[in-house]
Amino acid sequence: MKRLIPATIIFVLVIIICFWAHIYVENACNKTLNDIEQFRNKKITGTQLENKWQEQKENMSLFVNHGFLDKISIYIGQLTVASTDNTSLELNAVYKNIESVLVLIKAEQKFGLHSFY
Amino acid sequence: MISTVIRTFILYVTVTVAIRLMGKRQIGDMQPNELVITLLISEIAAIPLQDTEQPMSIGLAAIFVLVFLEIIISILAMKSFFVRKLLNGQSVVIIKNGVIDQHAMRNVRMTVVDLIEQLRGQDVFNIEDVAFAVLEVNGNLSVLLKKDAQPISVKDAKLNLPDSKLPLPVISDGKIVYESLKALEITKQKLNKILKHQCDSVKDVFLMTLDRDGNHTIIKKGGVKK
Repeated sequence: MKRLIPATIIFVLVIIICFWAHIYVENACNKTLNDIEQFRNKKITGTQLENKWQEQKENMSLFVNHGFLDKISIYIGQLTVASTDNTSLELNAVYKNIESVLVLIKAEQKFGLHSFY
Repeated sequence: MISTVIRTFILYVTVTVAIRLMGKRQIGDMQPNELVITLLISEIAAIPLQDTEQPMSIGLAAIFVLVFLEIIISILAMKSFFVRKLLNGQSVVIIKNGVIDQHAMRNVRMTVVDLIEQLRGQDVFNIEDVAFAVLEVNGNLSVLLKKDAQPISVKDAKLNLPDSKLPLPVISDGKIVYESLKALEITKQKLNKILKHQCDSVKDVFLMTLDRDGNHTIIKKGGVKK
């Protein structure tokens, strides 16, 4: 019985962290989308976007597959470079890529049939 | 590279805590569910070590959930005979009065070679000498010999021997083990008095054991002395 108490405390903590991670990652993804939108509307520069993403990446790396985060870093780098050339077609493709990776990250945190199986 | 070292350190500590929480058992003494959990924990711990793209939190969460499940299941098994039987199975009588139960052997998929090997491991070379042989849930074979095949005991010989006293280590590697002194209810002064005749200092003693009757064994560092 004496082992049940620490194990239960740890289990409850794990469950709380799971829910918290779900909310945190969801918010971080939305924030990143918002930052990209601001970049799109030329409210922030490419460097600012990269700095903001770096901060989000560091925090999200605790719960999210690092491969996804690295992919977004590469896309944001591409976005910064492409914005100087003003090729909107290329930019749109990169936006779509970032969005789809963020959707994947969100899906990974959710409990659904896809993640379950 | 450095992250792998840190990850390894964290996972080592986590797995050690996890195994400690589950309780001490040797691999051979584990029940089926304990063995499964132990194997799973070692596999899960290896994933974040091998694949640095995986966040460590996933491995840690899985380990702690497994530990919690193991503790819950072991408590349920302790409280309920049905759960215990369901999870661990039941002991099976393989030999009764020197006769092998072939049906039981088929049920537990035990071959004659396995049986003879296990009997030899218990110093039994003749099946007819066995009153009962029970295959335990952890795979060990417990054997009760027939009366006429059992070795003679002190009780059979009706000898009046003094009770054995448990010798405890009172000095280990030059240091006094105070827990043992407390258990033996003797003081440090009394210990020094015993030691004085055979050794200059506690520091010179590699191991000293002592029982309640005052019988002691002293092994000096770099030699043996009785």
